[in-house]
Amino acid sequence: MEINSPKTLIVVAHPHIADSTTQQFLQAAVHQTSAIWHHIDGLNSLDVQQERQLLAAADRIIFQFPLYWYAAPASLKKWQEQVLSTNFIQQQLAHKQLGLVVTTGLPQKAFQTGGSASFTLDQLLAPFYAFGQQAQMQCLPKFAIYQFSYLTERQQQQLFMDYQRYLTQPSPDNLLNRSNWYLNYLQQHPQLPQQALLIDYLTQQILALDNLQTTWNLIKEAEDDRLDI
Amino acid sequence: MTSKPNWWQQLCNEQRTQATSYEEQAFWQGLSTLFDQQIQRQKQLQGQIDGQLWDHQSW
Repeated sequence: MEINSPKTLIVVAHPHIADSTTQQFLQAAVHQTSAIWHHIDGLNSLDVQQERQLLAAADRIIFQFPLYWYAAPASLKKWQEQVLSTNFIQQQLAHKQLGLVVTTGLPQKAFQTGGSASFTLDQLLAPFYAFGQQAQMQCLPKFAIYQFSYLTERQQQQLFMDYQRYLTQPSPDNLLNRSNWYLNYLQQHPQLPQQALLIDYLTQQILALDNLQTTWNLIKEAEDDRLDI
Repeated sequence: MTSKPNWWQQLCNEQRTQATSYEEQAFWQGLSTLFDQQIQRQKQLQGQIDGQLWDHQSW
């Protein structure tokens, strides 16, 4: 089955991207997808019209950056101030999706209530959510990467796929959409071993889950009807 | 006591170690996780359904 993958633009802000293992890892993952990697620190000059055209052509816009002193790098703020305007965002960005990919050297627990950062990551990212609201965009849950270099090999491999899904899987990120994304991946890669067997198994699993969910929904409906009597 | 791995767990583990590219290794890891999540959800839904059908209060 073909899924309707969004056209994704990743606006990457990082002043020393060549030295960042995390960003190199993420860029390698992007190469396998149709998403556009747009590193704004690497631009020789800022062509506002060109930037706006890139934004207008995308269905899903992702701001990707490391957290520097609890905020995005200054280059992203400067880019926003030069490229965005109220008219532009309200006319060209409405109903698109906004995603955030944020990397940090702090552990996840630092951003919990009572943690060393004193604020949650969502609180620190509030200006982006405010922008998304003003532009009438659908704000996706953030994709946070905590202490990338401490991840095990398996965790990094999982991250590789989860990041690809964040870029190209239709939202919301539920089990059905995840399953269909992997089904689509299998169909696009016929060279994978046991591809036909896995497609068959995955299709059956999706159907089985759908049947169970339908049964559960019917039971709940019947119970609700019984309570109304 | 550990349970015997399913055929798909064995397949994903084998393919992950034999894969020649990083992307392929990552794919097998991701697929294995997805299958785990599907099984968990099936058990959860089946448990909910069984619990509802065998609710002692309705007898």
